[in-house]
Amino acid sequence: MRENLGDRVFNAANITFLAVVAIVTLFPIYYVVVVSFSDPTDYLQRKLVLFPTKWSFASYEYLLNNKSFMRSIGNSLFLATVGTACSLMVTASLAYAISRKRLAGRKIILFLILFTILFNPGIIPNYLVVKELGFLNSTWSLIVPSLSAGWFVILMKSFFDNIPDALEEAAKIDGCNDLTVFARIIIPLALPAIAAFGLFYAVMYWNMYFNALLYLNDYQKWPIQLVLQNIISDSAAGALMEDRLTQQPPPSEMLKMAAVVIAVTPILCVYPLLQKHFAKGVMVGSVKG
Amino acid sequence: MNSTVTAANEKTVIPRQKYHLGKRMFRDRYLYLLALPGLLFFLILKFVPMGGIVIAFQNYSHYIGILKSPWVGFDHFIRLFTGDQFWLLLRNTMAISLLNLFFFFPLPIIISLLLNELRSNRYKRVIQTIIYLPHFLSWVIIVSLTFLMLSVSQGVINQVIEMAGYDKYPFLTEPKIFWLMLTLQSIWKDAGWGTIIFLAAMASVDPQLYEAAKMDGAGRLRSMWHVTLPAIRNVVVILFILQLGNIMDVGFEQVFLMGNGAVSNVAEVFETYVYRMGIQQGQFSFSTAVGLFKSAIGLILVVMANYMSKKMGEEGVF
Amino acid sequence: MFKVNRNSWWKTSFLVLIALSVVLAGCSSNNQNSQNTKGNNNTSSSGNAGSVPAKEEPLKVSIMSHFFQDTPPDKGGEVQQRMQEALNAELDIQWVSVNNYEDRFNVTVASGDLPELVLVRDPFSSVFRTGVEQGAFWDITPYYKDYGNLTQSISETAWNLTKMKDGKNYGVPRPRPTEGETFFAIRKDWLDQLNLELPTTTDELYAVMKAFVENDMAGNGQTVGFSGYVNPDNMGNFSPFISSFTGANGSSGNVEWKLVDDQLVYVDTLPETRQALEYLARAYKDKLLPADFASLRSSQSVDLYKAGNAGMIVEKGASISEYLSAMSASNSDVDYQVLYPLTSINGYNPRAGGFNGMLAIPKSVPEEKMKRILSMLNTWMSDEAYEIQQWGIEGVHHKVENGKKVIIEEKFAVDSIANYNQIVFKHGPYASSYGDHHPDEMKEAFGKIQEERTKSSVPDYSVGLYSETAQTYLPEIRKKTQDLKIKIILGNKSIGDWDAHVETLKNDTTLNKIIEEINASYNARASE
Repeated sequence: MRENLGDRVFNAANITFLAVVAIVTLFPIYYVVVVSFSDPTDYLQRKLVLFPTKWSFASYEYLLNNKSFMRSIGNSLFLATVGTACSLMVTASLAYAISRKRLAGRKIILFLILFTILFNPGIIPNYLVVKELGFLNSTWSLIVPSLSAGWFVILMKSFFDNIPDALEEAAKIDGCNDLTVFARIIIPLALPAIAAFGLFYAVMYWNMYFNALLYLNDYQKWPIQLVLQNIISDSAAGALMEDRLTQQPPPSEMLKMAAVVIAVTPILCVYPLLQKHFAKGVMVGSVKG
Repeated sequence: MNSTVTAANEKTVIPRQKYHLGKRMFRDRYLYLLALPGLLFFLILKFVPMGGIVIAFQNYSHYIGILKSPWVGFDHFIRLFTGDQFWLLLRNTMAISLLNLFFFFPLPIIISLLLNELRSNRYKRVIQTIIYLPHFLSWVIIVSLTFLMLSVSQGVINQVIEMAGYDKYPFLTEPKIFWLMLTLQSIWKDAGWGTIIFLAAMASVDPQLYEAAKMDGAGRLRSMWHVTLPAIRNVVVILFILQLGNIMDVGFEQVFLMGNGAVSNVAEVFETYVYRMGIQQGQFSFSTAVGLFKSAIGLILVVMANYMSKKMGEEGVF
Repeated sequence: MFKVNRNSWWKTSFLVLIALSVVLAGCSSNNQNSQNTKGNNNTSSSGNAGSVPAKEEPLKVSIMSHFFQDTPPDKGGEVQQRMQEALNAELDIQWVSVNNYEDRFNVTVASGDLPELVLVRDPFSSVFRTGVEQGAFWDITPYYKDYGNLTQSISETAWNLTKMKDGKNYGVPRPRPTEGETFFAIRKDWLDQLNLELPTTTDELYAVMKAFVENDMAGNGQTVGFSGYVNPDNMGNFSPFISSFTGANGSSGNVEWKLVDDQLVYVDTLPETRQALEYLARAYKDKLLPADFASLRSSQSVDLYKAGNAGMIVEKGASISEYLSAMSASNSDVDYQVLYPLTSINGYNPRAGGFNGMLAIPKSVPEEKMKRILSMLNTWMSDEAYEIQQWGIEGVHHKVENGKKVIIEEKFAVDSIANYNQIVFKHGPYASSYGDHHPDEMKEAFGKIQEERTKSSVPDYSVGLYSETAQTYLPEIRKKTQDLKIKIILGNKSIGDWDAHVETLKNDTTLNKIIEEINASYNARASE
């Protein structure tokens, strides 16, 4: 292809600019990873560490031996697996049901779901409902209110919309009912989409902060994000200073960085999968509901 | 609104009812069974709380119960509107939203245009992979990274500034730049991710159009302007509407986590205020009123924006 | 669907228990009654842990408390097991991070979803008061005197000061020493190096901080004179500066009332507060304070001190161990001079109320159980039971050397045993200045300081005073004032803005109403 000078300059500028964007995006993560692995004395001497001169796993050792930190990771893993499974079941089956045009009342249901996207009654009414259900201070308080969401149902529905009725009818002739059709035919067919939504849910559960902040008192039930936030910036009430009867050296900067790295790692692990799927996940049904 | 919803979701004509409603429902009983958990979820966890907004008009106390709590009419709303917090909240919320709209919103469009112009598909994929990543990080992580980058005592940026012989800059405690910091964070987190929709829209442009533009002697920039941009116009408008509708939502987690004593005057928005009054101080009724005000305005804005876009000949969101 | 709620679970087991007891009533009712009375007598007279009747079902009790270290004690840990045995109880403790206990507490009280024993950090917060007014908590006034340890180990002052406005006690105070309160503590080793005296006035204090910074005592260019943090609605650790000017003491970081001619005056309207702000603004400009103090969290401000970068902090002598262990990592010959409590500044030092928060029992707990919980606390305060949390397990958390118990600090900290002190604590009069395990030289020095301080210490006259208007509106006023204070210190606003603010405060009808109500409450108490 013939290219004139202007094009070449444009290309070079474009490539450089995007490279800069990528570097700016990656730098904070890179820096934190590097520092968390470098030697504590190097860091304490306030050298600017861009590449560790000496590797050290001290911060990681500390964290991986820290009961409450590891417990919070366990809590979050539980959330990300059990929560995702529950959410997928609830969301997919509802989305499928309302994607069938023969279902009486689907328009009302759709409207109601859309309305929940547009209008949120606010945190206190939500809190009171979770409380009345008896989920306060239990892990279920993080799962049940997040079982589904309007957007997810509508996106999933528009995916199911593309599954022709003919498939179903063929199966019905073979004696299947709607439940078995859904389980044996629709789910396998929708597996890529379900995987994409599953990843989204898993990331949502892993990143869950606000609901945990609202609903969980007991530190031992906290997910990783809350514990991390506590490690990073531990805010304090005035009563605190009167009461320092106990002691333990608080985590250093390097511990904080290592904690961030550990909290990011699962995301980085599923990220390649996510990337493969998210075009589908987002684009199913495009922006439109 | 009812009609707009059905119009958008219902392109095909429903076959005439062949059976009696009861029979149809019985025929589809398993479908209803499938829908049941989800329906219960929406009913109990989305609609029951909507009923709970009545406490905004009461002096709700758990020990008396929602039925017997005294009614106070619009007292809490009056307290909100006449208190001097109100204008502060409105100002901060608007400032953060508008900054986002002006600085954040155009960036994904620009980046996707540039990505679209890349010759090497591999390079494009690498860049995409990198810039999508921050979207999946939680605000806790992003705020943590911000602290580790920018704080005065530990931030690497301030270390560099100091090495260069300048005074350290209090990025996190300077009220003047607090809103800007939020915008920059949002850009770092989501500007890359935002390109995904535009790129998809661009992918659907017929390559022949570019060829034709080239034949006409159009350069790269001109074909971007005349071919690519029109192709994504619809998406841009829809997203813009969504943004406008969300103007009251600035994202609790980000603002809450970035807030500190020095910036509290610029960092208090409706969402954090509801949290502070409701959860931290236990004033349930008042904070429900604040939340209700915010949600109601949000609802009105979305519906209005949608209406306006239709009026201007664009597709609406619903 | 997923009903795993503690309450409902409790209700179910309770019902089962009742059903069982009805079935068995025919043969064992007499027997049980006699056991119950015996149990009560026993615990109330001597609080002897060993004499808890063996056949009584262990008391299952859910507790909400805060914790300080980076991990709370393990539920299944051996220390807790032993304590449970001694208390004949099954403790289900919700450990809430100290950083957001206040929030958790407020929302828990407002929603009524309370555990059976709750730490109330500030008995006079509006949320707790409202809860009390609405009948959410047990009035324990008629009961607590039956339990010997609760009246012996907790001073009468503490019981009196924690009375609510109806003159009744709605919780068991957590006893704390009155003297040796948290106040400035300084790097005396730095002072000695510079041949400086211990400061006694705010001006001397300033000179000392300045000398620390100018001589870069940390040796890395990072020295600050003082390290502390502020809260969103009060001056937090910086309050002692303001108190040194105003001479007024407060609690929970809120220093708001000064007694002048038997009248309580709102401290922020005093010219002394203005002076203090100018003082701090100057200190900030001279780089005597951390550049980012406004965003520092409590632990971060402490870190600065531990890293040897700060010359002064607000702390109590007894907390020295954690500083010593942190500082000795880089310099092995540090001793107690690194956290040396100042006697007083401008003749001021704070006196505590003899308590720090209290433990309340919600009304949702049946009366019988409420009594058993009180009895459990009574047992917990007995020497035998308290010893378990004080020393941990022999060979694990302490060893015996020359007949004296010595704590194995590291293991004691790892298992975070000291957190049980947040629920029940016993102390001697010097517990704020030093612990039993500290070196004798330090005990003597710090003990003398405490004795000296006792002569001039100022109590918080506003403890327990009540104003209905303050409940709704004081938080807003506090926040606005605090915002302005920070800006003035940072140099973003001028002292002229403060004068304007004080004028508005003086003319503020809401604030004047609060002042009136607080004074009425004070006079009512004084006339009692």
